[in-house]
Order: sequence, then C-alpha cells, then structure tokens
Amino acid sequence: MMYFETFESFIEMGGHGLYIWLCYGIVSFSLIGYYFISAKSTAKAKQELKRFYARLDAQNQVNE
Amino acid sequence: MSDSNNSTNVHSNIDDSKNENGKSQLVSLIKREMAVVMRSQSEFVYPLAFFVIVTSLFPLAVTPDPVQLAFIAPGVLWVAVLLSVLMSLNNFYQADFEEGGLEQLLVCGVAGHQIVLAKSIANWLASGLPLVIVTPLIGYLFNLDPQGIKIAVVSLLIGTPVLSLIGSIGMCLTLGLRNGGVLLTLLVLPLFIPVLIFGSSAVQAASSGLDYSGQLAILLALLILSLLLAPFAGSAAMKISID
Amino acid sequence: MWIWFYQMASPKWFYQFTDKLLPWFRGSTLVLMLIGLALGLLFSPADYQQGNTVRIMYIHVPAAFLSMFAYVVMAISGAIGFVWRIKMAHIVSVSCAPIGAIFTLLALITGAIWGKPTWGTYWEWDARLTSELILFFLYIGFMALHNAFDDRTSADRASAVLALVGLVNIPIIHFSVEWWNTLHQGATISKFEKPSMDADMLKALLVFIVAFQVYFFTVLMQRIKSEIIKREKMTGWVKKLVEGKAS
Repeated sequence: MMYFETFESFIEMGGHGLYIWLCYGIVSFSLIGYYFISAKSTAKAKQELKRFYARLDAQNQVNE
Repeated sequence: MSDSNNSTNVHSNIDDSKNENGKSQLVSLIKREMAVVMRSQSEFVYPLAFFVIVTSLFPLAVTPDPVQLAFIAPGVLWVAVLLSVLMSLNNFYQADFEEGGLEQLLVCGVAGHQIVLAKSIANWLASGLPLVIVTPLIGYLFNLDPQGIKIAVVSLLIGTPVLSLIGSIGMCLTLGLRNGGVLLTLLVLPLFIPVLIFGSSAVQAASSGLDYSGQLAILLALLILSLLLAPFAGSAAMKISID
Repeated sequence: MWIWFYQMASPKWFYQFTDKLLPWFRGSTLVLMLIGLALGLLFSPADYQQGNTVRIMYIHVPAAFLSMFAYVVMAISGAIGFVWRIKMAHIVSVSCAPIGAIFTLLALITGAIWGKPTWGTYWEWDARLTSELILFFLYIGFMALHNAFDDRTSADRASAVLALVGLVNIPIIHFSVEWWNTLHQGATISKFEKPSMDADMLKALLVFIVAFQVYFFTVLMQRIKSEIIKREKMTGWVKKLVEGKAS
C-alpha cells in the first residue's frame, strides 16, 4: 500500500521534503561515490604496480 | 651531587631486585623515575605553571563576575588539568626512549607493564599531585564554595592517576614519531572524556548541594579499571616502538 | 577447521576468495538498497509524532549502527593480527577505518538534518550525536596513528593496540555521555517510540540495516583487494596477476 497519493505530496513529505531528500541525497551520493572509489582503487593499484614491475625489470637488465 | 649518587643507587637497586618479587622492583623503578625528576625539577614546575596560567585566562576571556566564574569553575579546572597532564607526559618517556634507557630496562628483563606503571605513578606524583595541591587556591580565585573546592580536590585526587595511566598508553604509542606531541593529543583526549564528565559533574553537584557520591564511585571504578589494563596496553605499545 | 583458518590468513587465497564473493555482494547490496528505499520512502506511514521526518531515521540508525560495527570489526581483526601476527588480519583492520569514518560522518550529518525540523536546530548536544562525534575522533586518531609510522609492521601493530584500547573505552564513553545527557537536558524526544512502532516502519529499518551491512562488506572487500596487492607486490602471484591482465 503506497503511503503517498499524489506525486506532489511524495516530494513535499508534509513540509519536511527538503530535509528528507537532502539526507537521502547525501547518503546515496557518499555511498555510491565511495563504492566507485574503492572499486577503482584496485585497478589503480594494478596500474601503479605495472609501472613498478617495468622499472624493476629495466633495472635488472641494466645490472646484467 | 646528591642527585647523581641517588641515581647510581637506584641502578644497583634494580639489579638486586631482579630475582625478588615484582613489588620491590616496582618501587625501585619509581625511585629511578623520581631521581630523574628531582634532577631537573621542570617536570613539576612546567605543568603547574601551565595549569595556573591557563585557568587565569578564563576570567579575562569570559567574565570576572564571581557568580559566573563559580559556574564555569568545575569545567575550567578539569579541562586545564587534562591538558597539563597531557603536557607533562612527554618528559617521562621521550628522553628515556631516545637515550636507550627504556630499551636497556626491557633487555635486563624488567617487565614492560611494570615500567609503564612506574612511569605513570611517577608522573602522577610529580605532575598530577602538585595540580591537586594548588586546586584549592584556583578554586578560591574562581569563587567556588568550600564544599565545591573539597570535592574538586577529592575528584582530582582520584581522577588524575587515571589521566596519567591513559596518557601513558598514548605516549607509548607515539614514542619516536616525528609529530608525536600533536598526535598524542588527538589519540588521548577522546579517551579522557569519561573522566572529564564524571569529574566536573562531581564538583558541580557538590557546589550546588547535590549528592556527588555516585560520580566519585564511578571515578574510582575508572581508576581501578585503568590500573588493571593500562600498564599492559602501554607495555605492548612500548615494545612496538622499541622494536 | 584449521586448514580453513590458515587459508584465510593467506593474502593470495583471500584475494581470490573475495573475487568470487564480490559479485554476489554487489548484487545483493543493490537489491537490498532498492527495497529499502521503496519501503522507507513509499510503503511506510509517517510517524504520528515526528511526521515524515521519521524516514530520515531509516538511514540514520543504520549508519550509526554500522559506524560502531565497523569499529568492532576493526578492533577485533587488529587484535587477531597483533596476537597471532597475521598479516591478513591487519589488512582487514586497516581497511575498515575509512569506511567506518564515513558511516560516522553520515550518521552525524543525517542526525543533524533530522534535528532541524525536530529540535529547531541543526546541532543539539544530544547523547547519540555526541557519542558519534567522539567515535569520529577515535577513527581520526586511528588513521592518523597508522599514517605516522614509516614502518608498516609497527604501524599495523600500534594501531591495533589503539583500536583495542578504544574498544574497551567505547562502552564507557557511551555510558558517560548518556548519563551526562540525562543530567543536563532531562528527557528530550527519544528517537523511536519503540512500543508504538509500526510494523512497516520496522521492516524499512531492518532492510536498511542489512543493506548497509552488505554494502559495508562489499566496500571492505574492494579495499582489502587493493591493500593486498599493494602490500604483496614483491610476490610472484601479484606480478603474474598484474602482468597477466595486460597481455
């Protein structure tokens, strides 16, 4: 059973719409944002390591 | 002259007591700390001066009105004590750590928790106790009533050892770090909050004629808990820094 | 049992294990969050006392719960790492800290926004908000201490000790703040009138708590993965993993 009857009342939320939507907005934004940051961090670490291994290999060749 | 004699005696005491029970070892460790304190005196002069100066800023910053001063006195006293204890800790650990004294004690087989306990007790004797002793004077300057002053002294007497013990954990964690001082404040002040709440509330209750025994009982419980746990946490932290 | 325990402690095994688990966790986070949003915003009634602002509670309470849950996970895995010198446990412990700090911050922000229509001010020295603020300080201290060391092993061990000291302290801090609050403010509006709570409201809250928890484990695993390959860069399997993807 849907609580709100019209779309306007859903947005307004009995006059407290601003606060409620602000809260849900901040939380969704942060959680989604941090999800992608943490997902990307593995890929970023892999990129860095690739360069690191390339440098290491080059150094080893020079030493040989 | 007499100071240096004192410290050599202490060292031989530690060697003698190695095979005896832990209690006499603890006493000789405390004597060792106190010998260091007596040599420079800055350990109890600086925190005391800090305490007096910080508290005397409040009438200038807030108001000289006696009624309002009496109202803010418990909080001001406790916050100033928190900060002075925090400041005083550095002298007890940093030099000893850098000169290798701590490492030597550990190598000699002295238990880490005994060192931390001894340092906390010495820190309290040298820095905490003087603060308690000048508290009646500061309380009087803040127009705190006699009952409030009495309970301020009692609550500080129970509370300051807790601060020394918890502060010791933070100090052991930050030994040898570059920005140790600021980091210490960051780590330790949140852990001081319960002591602050019950300590200042006991003084507030006493000065408004209410029952304060509950707050003092909780402070006592905090003291027992920190006596049991803090030396071990501090010892674990100290060993990490020395490794 | 012990074989499983030893496997858990191996970063390589853990990496592959989380790789297998992650798709399931990602999927269920999404589904649970959507169900929670629907229940919280559409299919639950307004509170008779708080009106629609009660909907903020459906995300505030889970955020506050997760902020403490993350601290417990952080401290316990730190303790395991400290006692048995398990690298993997320290990786888990260190990866928890920023996630827990984010949940703490979100609990503070949503609590403050909820306060505006309820108390008429964004900040009230209310017991739960004050405790969250102190918890935030504890997280900052943990991360600052871990960053302050040059040597990673010392950093891990020292911050594990700090997390354990904090874990012993949190109930005491919580109790003292509650006590201080009742002393100074008398009874403020408690956030949930428990006996009168509607079944639909409870459902929305519970779904969000589970959703936040699954989200926490998803993000935790992603952070752990990147932490593992950074720390294990001198091992053969990481080299193979990184260079294998390239070719």
